Amino acid sequence: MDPILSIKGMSKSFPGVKALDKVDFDLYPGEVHIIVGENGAGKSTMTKCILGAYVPEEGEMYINGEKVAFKTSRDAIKKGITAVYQEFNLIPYLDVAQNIFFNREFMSKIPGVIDKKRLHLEAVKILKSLDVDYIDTKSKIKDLGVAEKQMVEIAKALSTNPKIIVFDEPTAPLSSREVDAFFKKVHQLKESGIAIIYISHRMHEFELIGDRITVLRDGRYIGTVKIGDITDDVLVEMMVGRTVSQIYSRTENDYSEEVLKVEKLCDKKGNVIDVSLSVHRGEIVGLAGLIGAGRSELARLIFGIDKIDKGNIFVKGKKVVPKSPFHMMKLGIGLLPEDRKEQGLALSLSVALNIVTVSLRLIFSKIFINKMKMEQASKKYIKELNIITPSVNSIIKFLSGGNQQKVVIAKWLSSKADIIIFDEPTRGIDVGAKMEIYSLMDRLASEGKAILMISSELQEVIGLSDRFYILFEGRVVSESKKGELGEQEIGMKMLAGR
Amino acid sequence: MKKKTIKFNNMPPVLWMLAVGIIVITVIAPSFFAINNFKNILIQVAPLLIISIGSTMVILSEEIDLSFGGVISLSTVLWITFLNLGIPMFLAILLTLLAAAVVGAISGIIISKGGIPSFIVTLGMASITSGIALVITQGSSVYFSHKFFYIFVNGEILFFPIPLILVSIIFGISWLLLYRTRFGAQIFGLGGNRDALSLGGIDKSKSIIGVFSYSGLMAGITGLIIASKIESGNPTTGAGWEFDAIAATLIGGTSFTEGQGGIGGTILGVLLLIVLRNGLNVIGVPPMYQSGLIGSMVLLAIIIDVYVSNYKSERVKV
Repeated sequence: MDPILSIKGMSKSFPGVKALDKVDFDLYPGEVHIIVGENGAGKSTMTKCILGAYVPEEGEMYINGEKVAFKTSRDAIKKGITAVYQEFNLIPYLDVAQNIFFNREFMSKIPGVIDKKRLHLEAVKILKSLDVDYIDTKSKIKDLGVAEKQMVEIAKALSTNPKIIVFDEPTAPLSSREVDAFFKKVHQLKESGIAIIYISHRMHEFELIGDRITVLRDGRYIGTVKIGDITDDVLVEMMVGRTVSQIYSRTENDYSEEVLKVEKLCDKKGNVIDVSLSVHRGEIVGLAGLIGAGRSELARLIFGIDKIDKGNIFVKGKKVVPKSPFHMMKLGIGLLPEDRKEQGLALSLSVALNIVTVSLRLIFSKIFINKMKMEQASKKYIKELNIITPSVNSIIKFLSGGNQQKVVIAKWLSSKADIIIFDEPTRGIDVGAKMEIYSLMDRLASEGKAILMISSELQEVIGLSDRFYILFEGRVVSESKKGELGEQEIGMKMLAGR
Repeated sequence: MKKKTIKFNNMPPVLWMLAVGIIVITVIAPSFFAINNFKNILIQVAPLLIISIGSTMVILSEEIDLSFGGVISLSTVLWITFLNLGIPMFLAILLTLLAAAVVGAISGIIISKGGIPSFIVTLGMASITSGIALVITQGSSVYFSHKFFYIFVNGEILFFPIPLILVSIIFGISWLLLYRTRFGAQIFGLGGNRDALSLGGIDKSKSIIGVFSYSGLMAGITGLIIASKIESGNPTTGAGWEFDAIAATLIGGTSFTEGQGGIGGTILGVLLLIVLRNGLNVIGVPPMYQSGLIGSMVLLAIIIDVYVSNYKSERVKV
């Protein structure tokens, strides 16, 4: 069988970056071809070239053996290539049918007027073919759930009669049940001979859905493998260029002073019940558990966001009743929140301003901000934490997730925090940047900081913590040192509390 | 769980505000509740509704048009001037409407191609248009006399006032445009998700230029009605109309975000505004107090609307 799409030596540059460097790729009908790579590896640049949104500078593209050169996305649609995007491209106050056939509506005999009847009829047909005809074609998009929106998006893609569909992180917004249903649909599409390009970094999905994987790194083609031929570790190695054991490397520290101690802590809502724990200087302490086990709530109590009901908190040996985050900040506690974009950063402000926001008092004595001082202070951390940014005055939202997280860390370091709570420190960050965050955390511990880390990634808890607690339904069900518990046991405790 | 029993909950706030307004005014001044006065109100509705339809389309596409006042003034002046130059009535109307639409198109071009926020572009356009009107008239009014003016404002066909017939036709066309054409879908797309437009292969700037041209055209038609009423062209007569049009749109439930709303609600918004104004007259509130009172009531109405819809959406989320 001949490939439906094949790419040879495709290159694309942006000012200062070679986003794609002589990439080869081929795709067969009825195949789900997964593309993996870290953020910035060139996945989206490549698919955008395929979709006609970018025009590559070098290389050739063939569809069914015929050479093509797309100038716009319309050219790609004409050749039967379409995409289901990560951010939904639906219009909230138009109905389902109008969204599916947006700008390709059926016209009635009156010139310019849409034939609504036919529109709904055809929309129902497509939804039926996807087994989702419970979605009313007359309901507005804003009234649909995420999974339904995704189905409408797929229906929209299918309505163009595509030969190739590009899925960009399609399962990110879905719950696990919805993911199962979605995979079934993908299998159906595959069986009907449609070729699928599937971008994802959820590795556990690959064997459920994929046939082959192509790995990109730094814009270069690393290789294409069959699913099942290689282990996850090898795949990560291909993506990152390093082995897994190098990812979580910890220095052995001597623990000294116990700087944070929590005794029988309870909150008012019953999300945290009789929790006791301790953290020493030089130590990384993990908090494992499912979502809703009370980990973030515990962090909020310690940081003074929520009021404690019962129990004691000791900071550096002194008993404290947290009054407010400001109060705890002055005692040297910092919190990296779970949702860094919503809670950790001012996205439209500069890197420098973000770094100094909590330490304004320490840097400036008077009312006015001294720009020079601010930039000096920020530059120090940018260098120390290796934050990749064009300048101290760059707007933070244009930085990558990993670098944004480093700015949040810098923010707390500049406020002289020495007890730092990391809530999901590497969520939404690619593998390479994760490693940098890990080694940074390791370095902070070696420098005598105490770290409490909440994480939903089991590997992270096991690999990084010196000691970790498992929370289940608000209670601590286990405390163990590194290596004492196997993955199975930990999983069991997280799921069932025993 | 679906609640069907409490329909009151789903009623747009503007509807009960309108009911409350009518009741309160009737209690204070029973003469408000008379057939003749209602007819009067319906006639007053026409020009404001036409311009508010334009405003609704603009706001649905997440833009704003502040140039209504200037374009209305300019239209009255142009029309009368054309007639004074001896241009036949039909042609003069056509030329005036064309000019109004072109003004809108120019705003649209600057906004979409120049990437400049619509509020500042149309604010500038308001100044430019009323400036041109002032130059043409040398600062005063221009006059022309024709029986068409009287018929246009006061005429009736089968007991239906002509302005009401005109506004019904315009509403019908606008409804068709908004809900049954690609252009209409693009308006909701502009407000709801502009990326969806580009990915659908649509040139966004064309849609934006279209919306502003249509809104300019609506201002032009409103100008014709006003000129007929005052039987003259006046370079300042349109001042303040942009506030009424935007207020009626917002009270009617159209929102600046996501392309939420529609021209149906705008009818109610316009009615509320006209009823309030008419009511103040009937009650006998001196004109100098009215402007401030109307402004406060409009703000209050918008605040109530925002609170009610926030309350509703919060309950949906929980």
